[in-house]
Amino acid sequence: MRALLFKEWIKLRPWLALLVVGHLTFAVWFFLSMRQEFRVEHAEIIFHQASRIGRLFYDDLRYVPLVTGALLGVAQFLPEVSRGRLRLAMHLPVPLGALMAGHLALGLAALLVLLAFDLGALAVTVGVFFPAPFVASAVATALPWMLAGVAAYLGAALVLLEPVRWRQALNLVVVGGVIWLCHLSNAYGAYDLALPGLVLLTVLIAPAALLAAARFRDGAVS
Amino acid sequence: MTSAETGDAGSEPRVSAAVAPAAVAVEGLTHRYGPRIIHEDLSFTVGTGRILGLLGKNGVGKTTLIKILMGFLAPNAGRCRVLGEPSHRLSPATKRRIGLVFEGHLAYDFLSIAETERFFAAWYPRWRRDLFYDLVDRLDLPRTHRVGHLSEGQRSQVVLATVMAQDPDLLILDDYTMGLDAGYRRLFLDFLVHFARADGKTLLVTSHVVQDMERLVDDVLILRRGSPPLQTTLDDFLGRFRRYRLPAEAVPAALPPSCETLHALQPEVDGSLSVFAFAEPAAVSAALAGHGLNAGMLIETPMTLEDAFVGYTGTY
Amino acid sequence: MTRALGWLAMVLLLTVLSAIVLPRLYEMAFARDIAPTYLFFSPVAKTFIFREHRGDHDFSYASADGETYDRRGFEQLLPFMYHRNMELWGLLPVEIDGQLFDRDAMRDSLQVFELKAREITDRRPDIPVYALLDAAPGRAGLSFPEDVFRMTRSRIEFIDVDVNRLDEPLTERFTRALREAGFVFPARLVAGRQTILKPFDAGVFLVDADGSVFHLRREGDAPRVTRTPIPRNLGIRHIKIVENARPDLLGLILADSGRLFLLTMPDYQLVALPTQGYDPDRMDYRLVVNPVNPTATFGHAIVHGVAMTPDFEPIADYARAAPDATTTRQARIAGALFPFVLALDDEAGPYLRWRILWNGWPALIGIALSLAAFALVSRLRGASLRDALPGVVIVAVTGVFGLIAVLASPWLRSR
Repeated sequence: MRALLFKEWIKLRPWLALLVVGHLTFAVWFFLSMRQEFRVEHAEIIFHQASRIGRLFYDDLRYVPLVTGALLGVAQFLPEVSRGRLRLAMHLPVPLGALMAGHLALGLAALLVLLAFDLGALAVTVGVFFPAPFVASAVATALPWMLAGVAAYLGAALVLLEPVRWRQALNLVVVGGVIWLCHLSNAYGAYDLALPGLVLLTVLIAPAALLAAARFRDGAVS
Repeated sequence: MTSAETGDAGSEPRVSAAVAPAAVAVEGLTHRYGPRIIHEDLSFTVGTGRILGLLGKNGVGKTTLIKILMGFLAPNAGRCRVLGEPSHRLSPATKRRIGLVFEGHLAYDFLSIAETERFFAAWYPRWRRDLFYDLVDRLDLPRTHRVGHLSEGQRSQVVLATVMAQDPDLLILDDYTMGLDAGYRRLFLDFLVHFARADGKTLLVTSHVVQDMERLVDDVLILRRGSPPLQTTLDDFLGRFRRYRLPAEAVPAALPPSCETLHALQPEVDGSLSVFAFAEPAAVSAALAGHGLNAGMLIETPMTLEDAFVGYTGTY
Repeated sequence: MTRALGWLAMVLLLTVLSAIVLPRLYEMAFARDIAPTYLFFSPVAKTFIFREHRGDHDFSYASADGETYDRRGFEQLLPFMYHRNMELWGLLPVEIDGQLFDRDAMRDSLQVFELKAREITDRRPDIPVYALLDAAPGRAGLSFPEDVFRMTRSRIEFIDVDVNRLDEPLTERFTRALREAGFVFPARLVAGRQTILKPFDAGVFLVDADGSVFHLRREGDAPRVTRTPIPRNLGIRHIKIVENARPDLLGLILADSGRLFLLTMPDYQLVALPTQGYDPDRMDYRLVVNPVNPTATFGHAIVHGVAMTPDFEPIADYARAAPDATTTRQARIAGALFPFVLALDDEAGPYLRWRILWNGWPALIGIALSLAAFALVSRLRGASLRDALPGVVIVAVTGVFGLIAVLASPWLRSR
């Protein structure tokens, strides 16, 4: 598995660098835009908008995890499936399930680091301008967005690993459905009670992606 | 003819092969895509230590068969065992003993030469770093060079080095010649022959350059559409399969049909007729005479493997 | 193993998604829009009258006694509600129960209190940080202070919003004032109308750890705390402050038991409101106060109405089933087609919740048809019973959703 980590690291290195720079830029921009809000508007009005009117000052973060997950998934699996390069890894002396789980675990780990950074940046920025309850609310509100990022990553694997074209389209619809469920509401804290079910749905994409990989290995006869 | 070099040593199974079980055993293999039957009840074996060339024209299921043997296609029916295990359910231990060269010399484009070595070395306890760099350093490239930036020929060398360094017992090569110019083809072949012969490896190769096979293989498995495959030693095939030529003036307008004795009759561009057969000259003459042809002018002409392959499988 | 697990995962994903999406699409395509029934008590006719929607913009106006009206006739029976129309039609002043009401009297006496299920504190996410407005700002109009407060385990903390830092003196002052009034930390509930768009500010109501209700106001930076006589054992779930023009009726108080009270000022007396059949989690409660017959209405599928005397003694009640959307042909087909509906929505509050609505026995028809279709496909594909069994189980439980999922998933076959 260390060798796998080595390979994935070399492959994803440029993409990870791009993503890290992107997320850092976003974090800085987010902080500055928040500060700007407080410069042009009275703080008490902003507080009222944030807590009572439900304006999300961090709404720009909404699709960042989604794009990150999808990009990471495509960067990781597109080179593997192009020309069937994944066959090289599939012939390594390791069971298929472990091999694919290893790939997914490495990508997920990288994604979770990025998403944790986003949540951290959100918490710090909100925490600078607002008291703790706002931070808790902002993090809770951003969690389904983070989940959408995970779904997008696993979904990229599910779509790309599937060898049959129409099934790729179907998988895309499935992943799109899960991501849609993560973005149903604009209200803060709306997902507080719904998150466990969504986590379960998102987690289901992982074994489905393993099935797609097995189908890839077996030449897609079904 | 190369029978002088390969000689008896090539046609007779080597001692190790006689006691060891077959490296590849295919039994009653059937595969179809929808209604299209690709293979039906195909059976053959590759003895341990043998080098088998899988030959056949495009569309006879070579690729399908190689996919099945490599474990990337589950057959509809029948058994395909590689080193004693079903080819699409290989244990990691067995996979470690099999080296695969995929069509187009698949490699990780994003790794450098040194990274490729480092990555693959981790999986193979018998990894032979010396062998890898022996081959690769001949390219005279920095080891930090990325595989994706190599030419097809250079990449083929890296791929071969990777597979050879694994020190596998069985190598399966899917059309290693594709995209290679004559120089790299020769280089690849030389290394491969040397490697296989020196260490008694079992090889299963396909190539669309049939001529190369003559220098490499012990055995041939020739697939033909609509008829059972022919498996034999190279020497047996080249020794028994013959070409006879009938000059243009002796060729009638209506050719006799091919039969048991007359494997194939093929009009040449100069008007003469090539008759391919496993039979002795006398039997062929008799068969031709039986169809009213003047077999007196029949001459046996020597053939290369390619000639024989084309004669056996037909031009179209 | 990997394959079986992957198959199950794929089937579950497809089943869940179709159970959410298909009924939605079906409803979008076929469902008829049915508006709720509006029920009133006419202080003129002394009977319940209602407006009912039967689909396709077909409204009917009628009374509980079976009278029907046109729209104008209907509105004339509700002179307080439609006092502006009454004035336009030249029907004012009007005499009801021996009292004469002109336009101004009608306008000033009409007051509407509403408690929607989605408003209840524990039914909505909240950021528990509040503004305590200056009740006596010394100028016209209210404005937000430059601080907010939140309740911690042991005190009321004021935070300066400009620097996002604790205001210790203010925190100290208000905490001491609360403690001196007998407030026991931590607070259970904070209630106030967080807006400056209201005629006056009544401050906030706090329920302490013991259940006592305190009324906290602010004048400048000085706290004004009143311990109310509201019983400690009431079990208050929600307080809705309605700072209307009439300060004597201040708001509604909902108890855990589902009982609802009108909060009156200045003595914090509670007036029990009729709640027979009221479910705060599913129904919106509406109290229309006029000087003759205050009326409470609540409920969707069955609309309840209770008319009262001016001092809120019930005198008449009525319940009417709304024209039911589930009896339409399209709804019956949906009930048979889909064994259940899965929803992730915010039907009664901002919280998104997973809901499963079972469609009952008619769903067996859909399940049977789905099973038959699955059996047919399995046969065409030449699957053995053993291969088809997992699919049969899925379809038997989830009907058409499972059928779609199993057919769309890669065929599971034992090798």
